[in-house]
Amino acid sequence: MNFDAIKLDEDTREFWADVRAFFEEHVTDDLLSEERTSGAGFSETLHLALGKRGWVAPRWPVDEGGAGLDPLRARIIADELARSRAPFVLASTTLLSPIAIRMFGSPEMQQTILPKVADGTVRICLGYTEPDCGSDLAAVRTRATRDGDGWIINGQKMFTTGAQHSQYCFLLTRTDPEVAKHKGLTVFLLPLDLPGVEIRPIGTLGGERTNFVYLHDVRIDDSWRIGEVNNGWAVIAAPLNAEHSIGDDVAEVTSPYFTECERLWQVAVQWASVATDIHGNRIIDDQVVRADLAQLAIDIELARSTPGPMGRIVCSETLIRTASKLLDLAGAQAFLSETSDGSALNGELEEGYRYAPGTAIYGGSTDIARNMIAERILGLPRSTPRRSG
Amino acid sequence: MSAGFVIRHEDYTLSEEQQALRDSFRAFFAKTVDATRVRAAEPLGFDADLWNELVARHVVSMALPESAGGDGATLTDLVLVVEEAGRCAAPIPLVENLAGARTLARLDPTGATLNSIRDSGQIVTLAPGPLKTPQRALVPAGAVAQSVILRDGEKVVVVTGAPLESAVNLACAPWGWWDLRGGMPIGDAAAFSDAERDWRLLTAAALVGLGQAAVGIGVQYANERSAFGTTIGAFQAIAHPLVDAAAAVEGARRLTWRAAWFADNEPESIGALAISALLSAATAAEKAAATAIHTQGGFGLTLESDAQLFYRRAKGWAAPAGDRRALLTEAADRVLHPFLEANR
Repeated sequence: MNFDAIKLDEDTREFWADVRAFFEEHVTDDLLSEERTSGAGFSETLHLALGKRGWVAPRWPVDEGGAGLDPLRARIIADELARSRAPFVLASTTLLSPIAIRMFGSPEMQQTILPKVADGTVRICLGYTEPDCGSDLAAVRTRATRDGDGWIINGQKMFTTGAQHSQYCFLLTRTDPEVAKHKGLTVFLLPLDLPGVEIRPIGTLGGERTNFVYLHDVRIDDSWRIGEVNNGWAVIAAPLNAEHSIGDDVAEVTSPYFTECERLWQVAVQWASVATDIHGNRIIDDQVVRADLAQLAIDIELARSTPGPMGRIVCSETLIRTASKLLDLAGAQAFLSETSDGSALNGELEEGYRYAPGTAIYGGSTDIARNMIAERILGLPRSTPRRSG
Repeated sequence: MSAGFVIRHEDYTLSEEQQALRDSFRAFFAKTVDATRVRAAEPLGFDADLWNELVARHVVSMALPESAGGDGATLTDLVLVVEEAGRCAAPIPLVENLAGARTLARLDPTGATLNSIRDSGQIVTLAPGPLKTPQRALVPAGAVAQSVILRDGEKVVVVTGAPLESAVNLACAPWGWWDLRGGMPIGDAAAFSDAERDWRLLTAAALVGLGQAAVGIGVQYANERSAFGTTIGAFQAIAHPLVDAAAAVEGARRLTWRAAWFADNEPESIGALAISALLSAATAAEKAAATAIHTQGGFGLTLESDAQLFYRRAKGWAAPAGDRRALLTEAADRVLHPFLEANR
């Protein structure tokens, strides 16, 4: 057991200062404002600047375009990126499919794609969910049928976040409708500039933009297939697991949901320490406010301590409760959006309240996580019915 | 998030010695204390034979520094041991005695009280303060203790003697009424905060054990009981609350470990972690026990079910270590002031 501060040598301290300076230089107020407007979850200028340093995939070897960094230094970059509040969604999504590309992709695909992922010029969104299936991923209907030495793809994907800034989509399709659902799937790396691909925006409660991707008779060469035909379920397994990854204690990047929770609490405390009530007393001196802030801080420590899929549930639900409670504490002016006259806390709390519910759904819902824990950790029976065929 | 340039390890793994310690006590308690023994000790909540057996196994002297004739176990080690006692709802005042012994080892290492605890299996406990009526105060483990440590004005004092009477309670814990006047001073009031910290963390550990056992009761029943053509654990309305209880217990366990590590290694940085551990463990234990009862349906309401043993203790064992309002007030002070200072 060890919770000691990690002793940093001079080199690492300098590295850290360099990383902090990098984000201070690149993550400008304009960049943050642009993200608030577009909800893109991505900044090309920042992403390419990271790519130049090998920091898009900092743990990849230098000769693969990464920076060859150890877990501590990669953690420093991740922490500083979070601290800067830079958009990160597409950047982190892009790193999931390379796991499968390395395991199952052709050598040519790896040579073509991976260096460009590392330098930031290639981004890859995830084509998993469809309008009719999300949690039940094996039920995807987007169809790929043989056409000579290629395939024709028809269907639609939904919540393909980042598609508008991506060069490829890591696409899960149905190639055999006759066999059991999870046995008839094939994965492709779909170039998004092919004829027949249409991307349409979806606005969300949290302000981020996601997309429909419509595929109408899209013809794709077989060289874009990843892994064997009908082996798609195995191909997506590793990237799916990585979405809930657990590394060694240093590399374990703090959940972004948890970081957001901590940040909102800190924003509220700072505000309460200067804001006053009608009697001129500081809000933070009110006993009810103090007790509520203390309970939230306790909930946050508990969330910090909860591991794996249990932590995924607890962090998300703690964020939802915290965002709600802080908005209640701060009062009406905190409900005003950032640009509204008289807005308190720069609209951060109302934005946090809108952002929070999505965290219980994206990247594998809390309900699925509960099912997994029930089955694999508690030893309870499977709850979702088995289909026939 | 790092405000300055500090990253901490987040390593919750147990050393081989710690695993061996935990495993040996787990085996001992599993073999020695079943629900029948817990019930037999009610309503007083004290099994003298069990206590003597544990004293003979050096569970108390283990907690003392080598300079006081002990093995110098860390608070982290004791947290591991106490959780195992909590798992079987062991009817012994282990938490209070260990917290009290550590306090005496710090403040009065050569005194007669510590000698009697180490050598004769006598029992020391702590009284939560401040006292409204010191001439008749409710003391956890007071029904079976021979001495009580408390904060009295500007001093920490020890009162030696006997209880006025037992106080039968929800948890069937050995609470007693004491006249706490006229104690012998052993230190300044500031020293009591370390005593409270140890008491809170050991209580948290016991509660984690209770909670874990309650989860086990619920899961076992869900895997055995059938309805509507299947075992009921297959229904998400049964499984998901058990998952939430298990997650709360696991989080509370690790939070307690982390707080204990700080107590042992960096006490000046502990902040509100001990209070956080105690309140999180109390909530988790109560939630787990309530879920166990509910999972068992009608059977869960009967006295025959073991779930009610854990439900009553989950609430009762948490109570003496501080009332919620006072704990939240103290937690607020510990958390808000340093944050604002660091972020001027």
